[in-house]
Amino acid sequence: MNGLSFVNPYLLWAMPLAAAPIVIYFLMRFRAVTVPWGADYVLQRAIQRLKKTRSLDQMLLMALRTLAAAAIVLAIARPVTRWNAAGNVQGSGVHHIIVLDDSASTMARVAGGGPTTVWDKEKEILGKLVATWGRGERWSLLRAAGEPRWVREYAAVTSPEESAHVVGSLEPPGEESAAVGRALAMAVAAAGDRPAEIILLADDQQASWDEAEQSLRTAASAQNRQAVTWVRLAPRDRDNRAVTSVRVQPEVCLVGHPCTVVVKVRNFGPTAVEDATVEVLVDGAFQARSSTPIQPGQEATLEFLITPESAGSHAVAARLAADVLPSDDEAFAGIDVRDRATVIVCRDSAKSGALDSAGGFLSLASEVLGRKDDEGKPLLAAAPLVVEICTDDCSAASLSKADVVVVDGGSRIDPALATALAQRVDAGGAVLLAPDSSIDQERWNTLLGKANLLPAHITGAVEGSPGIDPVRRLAGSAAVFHSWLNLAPVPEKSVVTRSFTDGGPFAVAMARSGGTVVELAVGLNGRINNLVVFADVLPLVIDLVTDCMSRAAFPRTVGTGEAIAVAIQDPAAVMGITFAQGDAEPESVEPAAVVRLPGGSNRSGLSSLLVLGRNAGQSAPQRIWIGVQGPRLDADLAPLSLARTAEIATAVDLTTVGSWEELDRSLESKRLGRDWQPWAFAGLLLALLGETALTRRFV
Amino acid sequence: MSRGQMAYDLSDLLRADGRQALEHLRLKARKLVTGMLHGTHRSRRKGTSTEFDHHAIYQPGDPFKLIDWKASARHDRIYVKRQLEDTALQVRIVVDRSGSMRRATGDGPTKYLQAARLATAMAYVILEERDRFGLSIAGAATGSGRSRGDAWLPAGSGEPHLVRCVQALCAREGSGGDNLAECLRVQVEQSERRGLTALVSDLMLDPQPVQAHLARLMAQGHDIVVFQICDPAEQEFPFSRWVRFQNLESQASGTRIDTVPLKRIYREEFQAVQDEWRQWCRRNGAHFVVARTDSPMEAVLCEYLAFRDEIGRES
Repeated sequence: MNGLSFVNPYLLWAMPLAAAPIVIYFLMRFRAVTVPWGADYVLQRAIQRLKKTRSLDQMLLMALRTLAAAAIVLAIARPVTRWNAAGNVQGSGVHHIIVLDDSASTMARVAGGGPTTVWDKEKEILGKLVATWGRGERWSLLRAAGEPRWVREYAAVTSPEESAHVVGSLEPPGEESAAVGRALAMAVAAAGDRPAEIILLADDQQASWDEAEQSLRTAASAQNRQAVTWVRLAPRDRDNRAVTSVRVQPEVCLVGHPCTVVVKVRNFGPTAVEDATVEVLVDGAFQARSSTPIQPGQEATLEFLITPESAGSHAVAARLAADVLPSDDEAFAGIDVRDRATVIVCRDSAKSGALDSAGGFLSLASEVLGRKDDEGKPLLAAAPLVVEICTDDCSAASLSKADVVVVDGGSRIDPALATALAQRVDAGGAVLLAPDSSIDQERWNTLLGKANLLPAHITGAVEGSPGIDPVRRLAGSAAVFHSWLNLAPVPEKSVVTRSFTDGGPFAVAMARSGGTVVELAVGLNGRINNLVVFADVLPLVIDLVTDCMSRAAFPRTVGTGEAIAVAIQDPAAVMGITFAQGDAEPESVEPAAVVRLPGGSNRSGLSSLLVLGRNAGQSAPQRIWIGVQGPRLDADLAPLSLARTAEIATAVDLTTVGSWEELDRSLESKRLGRDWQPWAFAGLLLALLGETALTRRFV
Repeated sequence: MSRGQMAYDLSDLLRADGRQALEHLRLKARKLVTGMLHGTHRSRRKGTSTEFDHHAIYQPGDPFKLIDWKASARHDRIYVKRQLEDTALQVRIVVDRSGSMRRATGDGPTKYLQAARLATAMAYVILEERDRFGLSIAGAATGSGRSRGDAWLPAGSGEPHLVRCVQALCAREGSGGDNLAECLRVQVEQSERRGLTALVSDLMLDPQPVQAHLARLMAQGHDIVVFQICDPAEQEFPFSRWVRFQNLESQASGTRIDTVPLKRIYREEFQAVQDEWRQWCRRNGAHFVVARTDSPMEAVLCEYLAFRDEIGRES
């Protein structure tokens, strides 16, 4: 019989136990008791007779005992063979290799199945398939998404329930795309020379077969051309749209101040969409809706203004109307809403007038923001608290309470100020550099540049017509600036966050060790630089402050697998922190000033940290939302072309079926009969009978 | 064992209750025996007993008192009465004290102790009948003739003789090799008066020489009874594992063997040995009695004497 297999092959290591009768024989011989004996005359006569007649019997008995022990070990290891009803011995049980497509596209719904997805159908067919296998049959299960990995590799079926449990406990698909070609090559390699049937459970997505040429060549060059039965499951339709990105700008904002939600939507389907409707929700509550037409393969960007009404962490969701693949119709972002921001203005000592400094200008703006309407309600729920101090008094301690430190002017830059600013940035703070016409350009560039606090060097004042200030308009705003400064080309480490309408940079940001530095091309005083247009200044002030705060804060929207970090204000008062990915079971996290999760979350959606205070009676648990967004790698549901299918068929012996019934019929024609495994038990029975018979003969 | 040091007490051999059981038993001679003293057993020698034998024609010199006047008057010739003379029975008890007789099962008595008890009980019965008995103890064999361990007590009667015999039995223990055939050869050569020879042994020996000497004794007119003393374990072989059998008659290292496959064969062989002896005794008109060491020897003797008495009545 060719290629015997065992249900519990590791138990064959117990085969040396077959020598137990021999060991026992010598052990018992060694441990013989001594008996004083008088009837030696009879004893010697009996021994002589025994030697003459029974020595062969004894050897036979020993052999039988050894065989019985070996048979017991074999029986426990449960050998199995398959026997063809037609009489052809086909070796051990055929190795069933299942290649299971668990890419994101398998969450697409199938035709006529309501909410049933391709994945549901795959599991259903797989469940029926494993139920047909007998005990001891070998099977392997290979998940084909991302990097193909074995769930079961040449495992023996111990019971139908166990196999069904394996199928039932399969994790739902992630967001990876399938690598069916590579998985198929692995399956062919695993089959080797043994009889095998490879069953591919996959949708017909073309993307699954990308970069499969090499793998298919490998499969085609295998010694035995393997038969592959592809259960080809098609989605209901191909019109899939996906929310590819949602961002809140800024991620840290103030209560009552509007912020922008930027949503990107892509049409992966083959037909144009007239009105792709996107809804934005904050903490599950509807905020805004907008529609846009999208051409096939194109991406549209929609912007929504939302106004948070309460402080704290909030979850922002952008949602498309459900389509064939619902899993990519929604994306999430996190937002941190604060009820107060503290701005400290480091003012040149030479500036004394109310509107001569940024402090006076920002204080005025803050005062305006804090005004109340006729009903006594504040115009905006939150306004920055502006504190003005002289540059000579700036130190790390005095700046530590500030959310944003504004360096106003630039005529009095000294090393102590540069050091204090650098310490503040290193501590996770934000510094806003607002140089004006009084700037000591050389000291500014030298001292701040040396302290690595300069996103871009100042190269000089903007030259305009004599007697007329150069006027520059801020893009996206009505604010007009009389700018005197030019910035050097922005280095790679920095990024232009806002520009003038003429394309010149207005704000350049640079991240540095936890904090951020934002440099403006203008001053923020009101005396000569700015044309203060009342309605436009207020949002600009808030934008600048919240933008600085956002840049200094850890992001609340990350990609899959990207590290997550959250600053905890008072770690000593925290009793515990848990981290949860979606609906998964929360896991405990060690409290710290900055909680870091290097692995982040591997699944798109909402993740959250729950911070439990020590004094639970006085402070409610604080939930911090993190939006996790993965790339929509597998959203294109375009089907595999016939030509490509033919190419695959040249590499392997491909049979395509569309349902369980077809698969069952296809396999039935190849199936080699049922398992047959009682021979070991029969051998054991015979050995025991022989042992009993011989023992009875002796005794 | 040094001389004078007793292996057993006298009370070990003949216990009070055993003696009581033997009070009214008689050891009757099955054959005509030759005796020096008057006894209750028929003798080949004509004598003065009251039992008439036959008439003979008077010869000169015959005592007048033997003339049967009535018969002479009827037949007109002088006849004298010839009467059988009653003689005392002479019994020779041969006890085997080879090493194999030292075997005992558990805390039970050794075969030698039981053999000694049987011999003592037999001697007591003989003594009660005022018959004569002698004792031979067949000990370890030596190169020539009688071994040093042997004891040969001539036939005698009376309690002092019984005490001497018992002391001889008590002073010895089973040891060494088998010397039974040699002992019987000596008895054949002694050519004692015909009587009864009782052999008490486990018979774990080559039967040929022993049976040959017994046959000679029978030819001399001796009545033979063979008592085989059996140890229960030696008879039943109750082992089911590896056992090293230490031969009590030799200093060899013993035989190590798995008893499971041997058990049936051993029992068959043991039975075969007994059957050989039983058949030989039947062929030669001897008695063969098996006595297990877990049985009281007085009871064995009682049973045998009853059997013998029954045979005597039938004949």
